[in-house]
Amino acid sequence: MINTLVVAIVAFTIGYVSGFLSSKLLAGRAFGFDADARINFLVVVITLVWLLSVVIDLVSASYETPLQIHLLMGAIVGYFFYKPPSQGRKK
Amino acid sequence: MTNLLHPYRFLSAFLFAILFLLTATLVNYLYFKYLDTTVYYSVAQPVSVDKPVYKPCEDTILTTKRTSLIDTTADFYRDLRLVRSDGAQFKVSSSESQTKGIIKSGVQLVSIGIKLPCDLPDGQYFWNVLISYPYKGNMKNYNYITQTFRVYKAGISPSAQDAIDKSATESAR
Repeated sequence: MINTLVVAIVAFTIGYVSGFLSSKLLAGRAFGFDADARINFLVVVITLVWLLSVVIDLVSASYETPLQIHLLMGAIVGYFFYKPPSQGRKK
Repeated sequence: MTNLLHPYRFLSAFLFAILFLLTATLVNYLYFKYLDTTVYYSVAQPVSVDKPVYKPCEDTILTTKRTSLIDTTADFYRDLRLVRSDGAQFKVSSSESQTKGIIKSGVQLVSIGIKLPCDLPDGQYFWNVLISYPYKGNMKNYNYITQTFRVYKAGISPSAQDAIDKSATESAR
């Protein structure tokens, strides 16, 4: 039980820090898209990958997505879901 | 760094992590409990036994050809069923047993010996085996039966015993 909790906290922390690092990496303007567009694209891709992992869980007898992966992907999407007012208006 | 430690941002990440986790778990649980009809473990039935006639206390050797789609552990609940001449079946309570086993994926030919109870009356019997195994948060069950076999205290059928007695009498004359 304790082990599961520790692993869950570590997975969440990795996801949260990944969100932070992604926001730094995607900051600025490149390929003609602004940072918000690229962040939205990243969020959509992660959500689709998560949905795919849920579907593969159902159709594949031998594969099971670890719970940590769900936590990690949820933490990254959640990180970007909330935009502080100053950053939300930024273009 | 303020972005990293923003309380609402942290709360949002936390809630989404829980949401993703609960959604995936719930979808899995509901699908495998109510919609999934895949048989992950099966056995060619009826399972053959090594002899048509046994004595009480003797081992019955069951040879099963089993197919499993997954690696798992399982509980095996076995009981002996008496088949009366009118076809009615009765569970022999003294024969009930439970064992644990590991199941490997793939097709396997497995032979197991199960001892018959020593106080078994003469009659026609078969083994009934219920396998219970966990799969993605749910318990799945599979049932198989063996061929019927006869149990006589002498270890041979009365007609065979008569034939032996007759031949012995004739050779004694």
